[in-house]
Amino acid sequence: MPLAWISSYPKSGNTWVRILLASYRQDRGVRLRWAGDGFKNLDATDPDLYDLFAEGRMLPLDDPRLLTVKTHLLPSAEVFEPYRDATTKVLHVVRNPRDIMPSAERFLTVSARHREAFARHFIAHRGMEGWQRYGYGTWPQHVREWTTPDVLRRHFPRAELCVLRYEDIKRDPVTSLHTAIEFLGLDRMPDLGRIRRAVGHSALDKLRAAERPDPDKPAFFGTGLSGQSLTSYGPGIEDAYQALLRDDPQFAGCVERFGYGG
Amino acid sequence: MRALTWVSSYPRSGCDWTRVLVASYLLDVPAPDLDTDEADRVAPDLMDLFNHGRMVPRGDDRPYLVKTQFHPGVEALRPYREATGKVVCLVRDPRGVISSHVRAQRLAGEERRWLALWMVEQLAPVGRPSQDAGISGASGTWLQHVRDWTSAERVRRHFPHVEDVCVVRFEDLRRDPAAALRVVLEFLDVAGGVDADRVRRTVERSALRDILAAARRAPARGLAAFQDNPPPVVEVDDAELSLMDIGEDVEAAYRKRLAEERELAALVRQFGYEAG
Repeated sequence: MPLAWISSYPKSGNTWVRILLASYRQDRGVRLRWAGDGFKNLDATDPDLYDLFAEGRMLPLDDPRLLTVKTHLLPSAEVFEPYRDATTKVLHVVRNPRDIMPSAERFLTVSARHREAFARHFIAHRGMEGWQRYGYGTWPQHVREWTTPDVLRRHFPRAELCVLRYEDIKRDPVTSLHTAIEFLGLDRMPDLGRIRRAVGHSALDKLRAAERPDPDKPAFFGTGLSGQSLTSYGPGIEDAYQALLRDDPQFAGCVERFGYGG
Repeated sequence: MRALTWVSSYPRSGCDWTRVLVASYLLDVPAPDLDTDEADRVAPDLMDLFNHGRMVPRGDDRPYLVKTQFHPGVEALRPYREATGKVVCLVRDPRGVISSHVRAQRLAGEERRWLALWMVEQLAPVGRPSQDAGISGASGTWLQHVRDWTSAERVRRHFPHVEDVCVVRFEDLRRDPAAALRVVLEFLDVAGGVDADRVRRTVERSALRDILAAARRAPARGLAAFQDNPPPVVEVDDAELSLMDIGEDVEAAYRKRLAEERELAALVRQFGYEAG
């Protein structure tokens, strides 16, 4: 059975890509099912690793269809061990860390009076420290390990890799979805009309209107802004980010590689 | 290398309490003050490990015991088939399980009664002989879970190298936690033998009420500093609620279920719980 991971650092567009793929597969808008910390099981071929495990189950490797499974974990995570040989594809979604920060701030309900401290924390830890503890790594570690073919193949020896930038999906979702469908082999000849319908069903404003999260939690889908300035976090935050770019070659290398410089 | 030991129970039957007591003893730290990482090193919860992308360590760093509420036959435990050597199983009176669960859901009146009636129905597989039924959910029914974890012979169907099973009744753990902890530690064969003073210290500093209150206070690591509203401290009400308190028909349904399902009644009786 072919198995594909849809990987990303949190708040980088993973759910959006899965919704686009499920909308294409179903040729209609997918029904969103909020389950505590995200939208789960958008499609029969989009199982959630955690939900399955909580039910005492493993990914069904005998399913003849391609399974596309979301993950924020590093590729070295131990829970991937039963799936290393079955993994044939990795579709990685990368987003500018400047935009992950405000998206995380909203998702994690950071209070207005702690915004500056949150931004300093995010910059100092190259992401959320709590997410490192969950096995997601720092942002540059996560991106490097999933998008460097030699590193990735240490963990998934049969995996082909395709990287999509969140910003490109937003700018041209039709082309991005076409790329994803071709890469995953969902259709030998992707149907352009169906792709356009899937993109229409999955527009961020429609998803925001359709989501029904816990009323005590913030909305899952934000406005999807790109290349945001950090000046609203307070004096010195933009400078701190620039210092990070100057002083941390791994972080700067990742930022540069995906065109997020400056 | 130490054999892998599971501490298992049907939900709301004292599995986590036991795990925390063992970690507290091994680290000699009061349970409410336990560092999560340190506790996970000696006695983790399988679900927590998975949520952090991890599996149970297989080398010399293997913990003393690992908590699970899964039925022994689920797929998720198969990677540990060969490594498992021991099982500690906590068993609780199904009436207590139901009562604890409905209280935890904070339901009132009719909703509470309906949930309890549904749980009574789910104590054993519905509609066919329990031997032929598949496992219900991740834990199985109470009957499946307790029957298949408390018999070494049945456990060996899933974990062939299991030497022994240590069964502890939740009610005994609550009545005399020091004695129950000593039994578990002796079964685990902890290095240097069981230290009676340390057991006493552990239990004195690790009341269930304090453990639960600490767990509810614990903020998400690295996040609480940025939020205005940390989760409220919820008082733990440990008053027992009988099925009669929930509804006379709940108690009647329980008795009827036992009368209909002989295997369930026998298991209830085996562990000293009134079966009629």
